[in-house]
Amino acid sequence: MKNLVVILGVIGLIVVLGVVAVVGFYNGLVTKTTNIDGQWAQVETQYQRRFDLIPNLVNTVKGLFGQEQKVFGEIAEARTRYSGATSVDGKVAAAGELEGALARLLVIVESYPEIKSDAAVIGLMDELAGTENRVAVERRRFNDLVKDYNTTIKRFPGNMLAPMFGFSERAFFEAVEEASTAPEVEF
Amino acid sequence: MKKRIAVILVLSALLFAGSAPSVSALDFPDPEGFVNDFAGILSLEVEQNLEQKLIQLEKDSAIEIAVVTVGSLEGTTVEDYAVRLFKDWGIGKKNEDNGALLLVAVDERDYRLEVGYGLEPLLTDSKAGRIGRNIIKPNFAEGNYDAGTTEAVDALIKVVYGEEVDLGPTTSESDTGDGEAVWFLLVIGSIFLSYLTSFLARSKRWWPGGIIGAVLGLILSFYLVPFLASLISKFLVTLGLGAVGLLFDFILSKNYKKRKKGGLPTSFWHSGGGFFGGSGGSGGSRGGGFGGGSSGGGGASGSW
Repeated sequence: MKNLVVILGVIGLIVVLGVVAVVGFYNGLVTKTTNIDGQWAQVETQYQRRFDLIPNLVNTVKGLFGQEQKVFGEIAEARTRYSGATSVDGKVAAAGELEGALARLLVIVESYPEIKSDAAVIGLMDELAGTENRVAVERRRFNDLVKDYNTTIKRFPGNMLAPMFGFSERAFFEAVEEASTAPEVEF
Repeated sequence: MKKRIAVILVLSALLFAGSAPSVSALDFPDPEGFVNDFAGILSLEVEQNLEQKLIQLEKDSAIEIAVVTVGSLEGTTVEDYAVRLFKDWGIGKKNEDNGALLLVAVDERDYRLEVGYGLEPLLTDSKAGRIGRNIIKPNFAEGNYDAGTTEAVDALIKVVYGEEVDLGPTTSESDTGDGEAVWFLLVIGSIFLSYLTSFLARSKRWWPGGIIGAVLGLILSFYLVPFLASLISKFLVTLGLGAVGLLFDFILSKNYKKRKKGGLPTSFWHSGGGFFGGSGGSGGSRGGGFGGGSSGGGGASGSW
């Protein structure tokens, strides 16, 4: 009788411990998902910062050029597309286009000494370079979190438990080819 | 018998715990102070002088500015190296992120001013850019590392105090975007939660976990018993969870004491010792007087 109680107790403890572990595992995944979403918000914050900066830069440069450049239209187009995008993929694509157009603008600015030595342009370029770097940093952190999360749900016991709770793999944020290097600002 | 139960418990805990792999390609040295001249380009006098200034700054304003010189960037970019080093050391106070890092890489002839989140409104990218372009670059180009670093640190201190400084060509500053309030609340919320939970680890007593476990068991047994199996009575679950809570708190408290002794981070997930296979949490500082702040790639870089 005494033995039976002990054995039952041990079995109970193990089962209960299992439940605790499962609950902990579940909560861990919830935390990770929340962190990923929070980090995505960080990426979007930096995107927004970039979109807020660009009109200043474009207007300043426009004033200095005194003539219309094709790249201004491309930038305006990408902006419109970004604000109109409803899906994450759409936003990423528009942001990538913008990065490409920005890189071209920077090349143009580079080739005009009187523009690239303009104090306002220099300041805006610093802000822009800082923003590009922030985007890169937040994006890398986003991918690190996704990687950690994906590893957790692919490893045992995640591969068994995650589907039960409806957790599925998250997509990495792949940088657009031409956007993989932040524009170099050199004066 | 008691021993055997403990062994079984620990083993089954291990079965469910998954250690999360951490990503770290670079191996950073430990900080020696605010000034870390690993490349050996500063004179001893300047080094001590700067250290004094930065200690004073930290005393007066709690702002932490680190000066680091390295030989090589080990194959990465100066931006990447800076942001990782910043996070690794935790420059700036935790939750305030009021730190800044001046990183100089001698082999690559690159420098970077990395600005913590909290200092971004004061030390904007364009200000950082001007400090680099107008102070660091011309001095370093002539080999005046002492003068360049000293002047840069002086300018930084003035800027973070909100004083007007002449940093060369001026321009309209653009503010950092707002809309970070939601993120801020999220961070505060999660920090609050982790502190609440780490109470278990921090409390020297290890019985509160038992009580919490029993209460949890009572709740769980009503919600989860159909999910478990109807064989186990609610009473057993409650009793069992109470015991598990005891053990868990016991391990946490022990682990906490051990980590505290060893100077290891004692945030919730750390004191949990990977019990739930959770990583996350904010990286604590590695000593050297830094407070655990973080940065997000703000600042400016350049080469000489």
